[in-house]
Amino acid sequence: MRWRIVLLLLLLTASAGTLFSQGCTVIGPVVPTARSNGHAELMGDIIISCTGSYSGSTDLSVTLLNTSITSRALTAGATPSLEALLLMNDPDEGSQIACAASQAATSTCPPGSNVFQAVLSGPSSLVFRNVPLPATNSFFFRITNVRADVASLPGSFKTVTATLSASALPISGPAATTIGYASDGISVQLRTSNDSAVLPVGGLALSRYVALNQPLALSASSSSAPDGVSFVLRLQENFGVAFKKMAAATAPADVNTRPAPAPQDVPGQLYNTETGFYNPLFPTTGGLNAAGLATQATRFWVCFQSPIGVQVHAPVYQRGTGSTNSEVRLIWSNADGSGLTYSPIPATSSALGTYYDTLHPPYYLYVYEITAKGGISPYMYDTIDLPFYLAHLASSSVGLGTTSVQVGYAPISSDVAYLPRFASVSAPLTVATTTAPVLQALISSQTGTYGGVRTWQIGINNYGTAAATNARITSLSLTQTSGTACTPSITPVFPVVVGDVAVNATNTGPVTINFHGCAITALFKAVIGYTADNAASGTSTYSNKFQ
Amino acid sequence: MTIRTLTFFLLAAGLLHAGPSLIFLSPGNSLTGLPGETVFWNIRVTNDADYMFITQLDYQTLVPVGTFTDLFSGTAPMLGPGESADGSGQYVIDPAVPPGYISQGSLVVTYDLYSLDMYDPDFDPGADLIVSNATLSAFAQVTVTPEPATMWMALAGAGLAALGAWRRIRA
Repeated sequence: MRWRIVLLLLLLTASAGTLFSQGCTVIGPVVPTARSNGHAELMGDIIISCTGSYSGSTDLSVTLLNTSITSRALTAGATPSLEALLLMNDPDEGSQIACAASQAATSTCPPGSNVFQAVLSGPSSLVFRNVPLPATNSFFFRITNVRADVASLPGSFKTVTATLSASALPISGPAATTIGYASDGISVQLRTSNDSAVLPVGGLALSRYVALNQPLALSASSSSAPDGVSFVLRLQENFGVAFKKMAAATAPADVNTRPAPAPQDVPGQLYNTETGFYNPLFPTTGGLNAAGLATQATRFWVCFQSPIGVQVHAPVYQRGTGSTNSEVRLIWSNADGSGLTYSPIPATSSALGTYYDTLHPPYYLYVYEITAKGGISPYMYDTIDLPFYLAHLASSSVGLGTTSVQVGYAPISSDVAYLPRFASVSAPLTVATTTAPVLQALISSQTGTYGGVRTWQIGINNYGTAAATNARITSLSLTQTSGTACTPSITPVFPVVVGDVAVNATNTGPVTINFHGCAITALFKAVIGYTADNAASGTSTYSNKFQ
Repeated sequence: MTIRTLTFFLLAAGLLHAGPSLIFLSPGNSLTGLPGETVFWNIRVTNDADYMFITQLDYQTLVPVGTFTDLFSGTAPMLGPGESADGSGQYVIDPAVPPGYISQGSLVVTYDLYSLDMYDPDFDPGADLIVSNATLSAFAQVTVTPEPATMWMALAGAGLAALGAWRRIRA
């Protein structure tokens, strides 16, 4: 309780100069830092300290000067009752008597009410109606559970300001009070599998024809991933309270359970959770018993896009942890990361602790939620490392290109059903680049005597994304399609080696063919076989070729 | 000569020597199909000058979702100036490819161009060859779509979401 005594002393000191005069002063809150893309971020408590003798009641309005109020609406209608509360003289947990906005409007608050509910009076303003003024010579109000749409503010470092007014109280102080700052709350890093360094630009270098964690590619439930973790996704706080649990709670047995939220009903206490001031013992009138309560902890939306055949298997727990102590848990959610339930996803490979998403092709979508366990701390910059496995077969059916990931807070939604909710995610980061030579054969030139021995220069062209090693022409067959029948004979011993073929280059090799007895206008279909050490074998077919 | 006149002559010259063309017939260059389904690109190749022999039709992509087969070059006649030929390329979508994937690439027509018709008594495929392995190419893609049942589920989901949004707006 020591901090509350200190606060009261501060309030008394602040108002000492006006102790014996009428008036109220806005005392700037402890300004929290919010996440800059949050649609409903908790702002700091506003305190109004008053001296003098008053009677009757007052309306007290809070107007945000540069963005919208997004405190949760607890009733329906155009001017709903909000979760925002006004506390008179910081009542102890046991002595809080709440008055719903509908009761205040009709002057039917319970006797001794000292907690009052706001209604939304405009997109950026709320009002506490008919707040009775105490007969004491000195008192103060605390306004809490004000949430703001920070995401709509421009810039990267943002400030939320508010102004206050009261119908029956003279309020002095600055015209605008800062009630929140916001900045980018998360840093995302792609790191090496042993977490020792950042991945190079372009990410991991993968080859279509070199299998990666093949058992896992064949079966998501495999216990074998011979190539190990491919990379680590690091989520790091940029300030101490960016990652938050849903609410204070008794620690559950493991992270597969979300415990019931505990009360957060000590006025002014910084709980550093997504939930604000919350007293579940308040009456249900006006939804007061749910005021301040968030719908989930901080969530992370992790979405991969990869070439076809390149699989991304995600950990269900944080690196080096398990069900008893992981700070995050992979959960079911809607595609935008929303969802009111906490449903941990079972691992598809229990041995590896990984899950493989097959529900969102061509994306791999994984949503994590901060758990009630673990060491998420408001006093340090938390780091969450997630080890991912990439897996693919050695096959020409594996697509070429980049595997990328976008990361952000979730849910990415403007649906007011969710607290918190966010506006955007990061730009794509490149996790890996899959390359391979892609070959085709062609007939580059044909020389020699018609009806006799001719030399065809057969080319191997590489239109892939990696050089082909030791490319060879492995076969040539000719089928006559027009003209007097004849039988060409092909003399070279295959393979004809054309060497290493660079990207977008063509190497050629000679093939000698005896067209004895063939007319000059005879037409053939040519089927050319090719291969390389690091590419798939194949054939190219050409019709309508003269000799 | 004014710039306008010069531009006209340059454009006219460009049109006169536009070269052979490749166009897509119905259903166009962007195909859709279920996993395991066979789809077709239907194309028309028009020759503008000299004599053209189509030797190959190929789909070149770095992101395959199936197997391509040339159904065109084996039956294509030699095309004289102004003549056209229609043909197809077949694509069998891999049954194992999940819906949602898109293969993008180029449909490539390879041809040889000769200065004389092959039925001309003086035709010499060596001496009359103007260019070998010339190509015409155009962007093409295949999108793998969900099974109808899955599609209906997706549409139903979208409908529910829209209904929810509508209700919220009404509220």
